[in-house]
Amino acid sequence: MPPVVRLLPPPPPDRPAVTGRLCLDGGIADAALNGGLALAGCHEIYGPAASAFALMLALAAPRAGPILWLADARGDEGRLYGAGLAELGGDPGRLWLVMAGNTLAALRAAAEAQRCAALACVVIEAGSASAVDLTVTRRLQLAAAASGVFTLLVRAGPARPSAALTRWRARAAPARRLAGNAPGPPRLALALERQRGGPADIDIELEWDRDRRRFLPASAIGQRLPVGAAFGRRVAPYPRTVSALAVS
Amino acid sequence: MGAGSRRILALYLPWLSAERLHRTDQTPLVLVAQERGRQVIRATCPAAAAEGLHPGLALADARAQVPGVAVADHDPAADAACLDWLADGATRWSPMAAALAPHGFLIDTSGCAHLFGGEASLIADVVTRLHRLGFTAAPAIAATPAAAMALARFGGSTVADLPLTALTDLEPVAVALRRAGLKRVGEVAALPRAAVASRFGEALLTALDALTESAPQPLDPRVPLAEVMAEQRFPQPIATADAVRAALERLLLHCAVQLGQRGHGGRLFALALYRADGHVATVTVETAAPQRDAAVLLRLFDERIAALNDLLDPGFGYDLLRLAVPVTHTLDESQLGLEGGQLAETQLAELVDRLTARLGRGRIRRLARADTHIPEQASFDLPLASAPPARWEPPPLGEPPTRPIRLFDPPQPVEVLAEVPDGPPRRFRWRGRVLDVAAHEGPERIAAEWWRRKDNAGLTRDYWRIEDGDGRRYWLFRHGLYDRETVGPRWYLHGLFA
Repeated sequence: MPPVVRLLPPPPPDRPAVTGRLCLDGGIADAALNGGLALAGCHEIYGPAASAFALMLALAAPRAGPILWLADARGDEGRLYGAGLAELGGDPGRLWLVMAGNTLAALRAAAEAQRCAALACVVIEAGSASAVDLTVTRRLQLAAAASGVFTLLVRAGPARPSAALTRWRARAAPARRLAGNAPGPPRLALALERQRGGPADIDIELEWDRDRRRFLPASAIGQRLPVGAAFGRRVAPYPRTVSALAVS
Repeated sequence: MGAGSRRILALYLPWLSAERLHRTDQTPLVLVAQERGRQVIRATCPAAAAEGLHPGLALADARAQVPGVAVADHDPAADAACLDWLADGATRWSPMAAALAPHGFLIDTSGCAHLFGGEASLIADVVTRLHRLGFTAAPAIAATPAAAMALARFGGSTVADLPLTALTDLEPVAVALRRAGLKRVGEVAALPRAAVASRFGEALLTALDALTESAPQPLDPRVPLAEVMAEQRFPQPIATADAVRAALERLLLHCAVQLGQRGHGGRLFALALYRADGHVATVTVETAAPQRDAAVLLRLFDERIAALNDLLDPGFGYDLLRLAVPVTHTLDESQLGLEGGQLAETQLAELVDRLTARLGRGRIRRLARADTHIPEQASFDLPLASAPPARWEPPPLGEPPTRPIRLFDPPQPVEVLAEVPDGPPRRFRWRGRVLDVAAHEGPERIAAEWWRRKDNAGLTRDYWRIEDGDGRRYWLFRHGLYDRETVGPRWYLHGLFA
């Protein structure tokens, strides 16, 4: 394979921003969502890449301020990693982790946090807790609508009834390939499964643009980009060595 | 305040061990402990003492004397705990109260007796309350703790008249004193000090100084003393949550005024609720920044009380509430101006305070970073209050993330199939599933921090970014360089990418 440099993503397509909405793909999903994901609302996400999607949404939210992350007590998916968060384009210092211990305490803390309009986003990792039912989600939705705090509910499964504005299923999608068959920027396959008072059943594939902290529709980015060494920062072939301190 | 002006009230509880058990029947009771293979009486109840049973007597002899005597185990630790509990309750009279195990407890009444109508009525109040709790107490006031306690124990009006038992518990010293013809503390005090020290030991001199107020004796107070304090007493005990809340609000306002006059804000607020039956409950609230806004503090107390594991049990009601602010900091008036960014700051600080009050100190955390290549040590979470926000390098433009968003700590072992031992993985098994590698990048070689270890141990890790057939991205590493460091390197999954 000829050496190919990595390229900056193509310039963003023009997307008129709608106030109070978070733009996703600039296409069918945004049209179905009436301009984007409502920021003053509660959205439900499940699936294998749920917490990754929640993290990206929180970073993409326009309001500055801390992201309050109510962590799941089980933590069997590993801990949130600051260096990885920085690599996703966020400032890890903005992330406030709250270890509530149990779901009930987490929900109480969430209710408290939702009243604080200085927060950018509240993410609740609820797992498969049965305590998160229709009443609880309605409460979260009403509080989010009242204070305008972007609220994301990360859940393990879709089964329970919910009063959230939307429900998403998020899983990882194969990333575009970079030089040397290296996986490119993160890509997510998302399914809008439910929307209150709006169309649903929409599948989109989004690529995360960490430099501008926004989503790009995967369809707008080609699989292979033209070669242009001037744009590239580093050249294959691999392997590269980061801190080669091995003593021989 | 000079030593001479101190007025220490000592309460001697002669029957503490027995009375603490709150028995209802009147049979004589002795408390025994094992001593050199036999059971020896350590404490008695008044009824047993009236029958002639006394500490030091063998239980067998006591049974011969009083056949129906009840027996219980002597528990000095529980006695001391009971005294601590009583001393806690005694802080209602003065913040300076301390237990003096095993005899009783002390209250420094200097300058506060007038609040209770003079020393006589203060003593009457203490003794009555103790009596209501089922304890017999002998009170005495003196200028030093030791003298007060000795007077309470042995009676009499002056230290000089005290028997020599007040000076020492050691049998040889007591015998030596008796042989010298000494009977009273006053007689020993009249002797030349050097002679006393050489003949009876330094310890006796120290005890003598303690009794005759020539040595300073600080009380070790049960609660830290606070400069800012407010309290309210209730002739009729209050028991409802609303009444307690209303009283707390008044106390908070009082403290806020005091803090405002000093230009301070409190960091720690301790509310002590004194129950009429002697129990004291304490609720504390900590704030991230100095605070003196009564409304905000009241809300924090609401949170704290709602989150208490054992709910406050008012019993027959509280007759005294005291709010102390032991930790204060300067808080200028100008800092209270709420404008733009400051408003957000204030809102966030209040949110942190409320969550801290509800969940506890270490539960709100921030991601911190450390200067190291070792991934699991490079980022960790610390309590928000103790960690200033770290500075993170912005990632290079146009590159995919090279660090996972979730990290397994410790890394999870995986079985990996690679074409060559030092090549990239082809297939791996994690959590019982076999995953094919569709794309990979690496290795990123991270060496162990050999300069931190004397034995130069630690294996180099080769990290690979892996994407499987379904698009999930993993961070795998091979532990040890093949052939150079190890022959059978193990593989681990260290994290998951977005």
